[in-house]
Amino acid sequence: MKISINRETLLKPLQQVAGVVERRQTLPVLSNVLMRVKGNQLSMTGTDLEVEMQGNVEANIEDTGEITVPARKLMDIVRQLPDGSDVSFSLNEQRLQIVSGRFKSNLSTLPASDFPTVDTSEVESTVKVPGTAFKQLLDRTAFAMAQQDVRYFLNGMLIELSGDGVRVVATDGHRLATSVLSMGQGVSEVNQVIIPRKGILELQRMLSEEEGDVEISLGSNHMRAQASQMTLTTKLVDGKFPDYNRVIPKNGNKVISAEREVLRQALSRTAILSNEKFRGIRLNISDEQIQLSANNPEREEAEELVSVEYSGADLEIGFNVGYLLDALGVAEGKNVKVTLNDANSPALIESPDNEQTVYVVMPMKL
Amino acid sequence: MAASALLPWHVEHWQRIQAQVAANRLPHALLFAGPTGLGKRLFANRLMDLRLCADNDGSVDACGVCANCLLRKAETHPDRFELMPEDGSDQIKIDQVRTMVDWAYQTAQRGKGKYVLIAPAEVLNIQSANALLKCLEEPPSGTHFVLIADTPGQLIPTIRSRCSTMFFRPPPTDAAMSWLESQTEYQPEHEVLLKIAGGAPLAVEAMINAGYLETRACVLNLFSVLRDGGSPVSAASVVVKQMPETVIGIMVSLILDLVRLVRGDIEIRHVDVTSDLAPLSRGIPEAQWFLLLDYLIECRALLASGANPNAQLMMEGICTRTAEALA
Repeated sequence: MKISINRETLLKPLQQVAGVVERRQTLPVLSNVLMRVKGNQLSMTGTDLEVEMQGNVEANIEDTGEITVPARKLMDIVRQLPDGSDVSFSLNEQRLQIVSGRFKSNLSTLPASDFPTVDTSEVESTVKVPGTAFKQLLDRTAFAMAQQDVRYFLNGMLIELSGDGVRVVATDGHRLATSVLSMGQGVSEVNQVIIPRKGILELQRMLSEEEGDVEISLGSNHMRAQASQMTLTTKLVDGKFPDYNRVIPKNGNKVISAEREVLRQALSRTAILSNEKFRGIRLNISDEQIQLSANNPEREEAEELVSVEYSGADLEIGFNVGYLLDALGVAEGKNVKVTLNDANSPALIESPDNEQTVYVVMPMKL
Repeated sequence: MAASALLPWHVEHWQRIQAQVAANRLPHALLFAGPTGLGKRLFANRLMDLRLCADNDGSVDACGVCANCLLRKAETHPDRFELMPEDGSDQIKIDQVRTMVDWAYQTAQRGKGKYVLIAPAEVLNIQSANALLKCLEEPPSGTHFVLIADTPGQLIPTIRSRCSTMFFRPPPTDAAMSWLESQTEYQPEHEVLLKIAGGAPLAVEAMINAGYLETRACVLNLFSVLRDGGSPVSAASVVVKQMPETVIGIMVSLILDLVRLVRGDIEIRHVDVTSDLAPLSRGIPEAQWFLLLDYLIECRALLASGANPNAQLMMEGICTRTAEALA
């Protein structure tokens, strides 16, 4: 293998690939990046056995081949080279020589056949979506994913391809976030998969660097997201996700409309004096106003009145303020619509500007 | 790759497993139980290698050339998980089990199912074993567990009851001998060692490599020195260079034979040195030997628990007790 390439072309995809490589590894080959030279392309692959990230760049190819080298060292070397310089790689006697200007180094290698790549022969359905829109979809919902829950299927995000388009759902059992990206034509068969948490976080990272369309393919064991330069493949969580349709309340009769930023700020002020562990906050809803109140075991108290558009029966309801703040933080638009029923029923939070996204927050008894 | 041939005493087990595979009824959790030195781990690896091989339809062995086999040989196969004690520990800890369970609930990377090997399963501590139960009872689709235990009785019943157990028993002596002869040149000590190892053929090779007979001569010598009134401290300094576990193991094995001699039992294992053992056993009550055995087993447990006792002091203690018993 012998190639040369511009530093700037190489660096960005290499940083993305090296990002998934974990620092501490039990298997030495997992701290390496797989470099494959084929046609006029150099492809670099890194994996942590959960997520695989591949970056493809064009390079001047003199000789093809494949090898793995330590990811972090390679990235550090490339990063420290002067801007705009050219780098050349050549493999001789199981060492990868890197030459750039007057700099020369030799990296240790491991054979490419030791590298556990993903085997994705089967693909069940594929859709193409705009990258930025898909990223927004993830950004609006990812916060609701569970972390290290024993219900392992909640430690991830449901992605559903259907006739409507792409729907994503995340929940930790206390709150739920779902959003849908409508497309002209979806797929004929409904296909649901659960992407592990790490896969979602890496996908968000990848999409923030990418423009243009992303092709999402689902198989029985993997999901692959292919953008112009980067391809991410993640394992799936083998489990059954709760039926989100049954979680979204449909019988709400108390509709409150509030200014999102005003409500959010009032909540975060009041939250300071809520119980640090349970973060409970009381909402007393009456005509045209909500009274927020919180207190903690040290007998400190906070209260605030927020003016809203509401007319109907009075209601007292408690929430974990963290969950409300998360939802209000990612909701869009100036106003927010909150639909309630009674003190034991969940709240439905929507943005009037964006009806594709819905948040559900369970109340708490105070 | 021509994998090493199936061990003759595995043939029946292998056929049974293959029949289960063919009927698509391979149990999701297998427990291979039986004394050490019977190649249970070889058997388990062979099974997993074959199941993970990309080209395994109908063949008896993993092909050894497909991408899956290459990964397996490089010990980087992503769909295979081995649970064993980490360096410097003699237990499988709960964090290791949790990591495995998280891994198990994600889909297979190479689409040939996932395999977990737990060996030896006895070293799961109580917390680890309990953390394993849920996943072991109902593993995610395509996930199989293989547990290996020399003494399955040490496993907690809730683990045992979740596994389909396959017992491995020592082959008949002549079968074991003919296998040993086919492996290496015949050596007269094979027969003796096989007997000492309780008929486990693979143990014989390990014993030869470890210089078992030389160490045993050393221990026998120690016994006669102590009986003749030699100083326990100077006697101990001779054997302290050996691995204390090995020395204690040999002493236990020899003392069991001494007890058999006292009782006039015919099932002596150290048949080649009976003439050396006979004078040692003369005139000493059985109870003395059992007291010494208890002490030795205590020492062995101490070593196994990772307490890192002072070897010199321990051997001196053992020698003093032995001298008392022989007096």
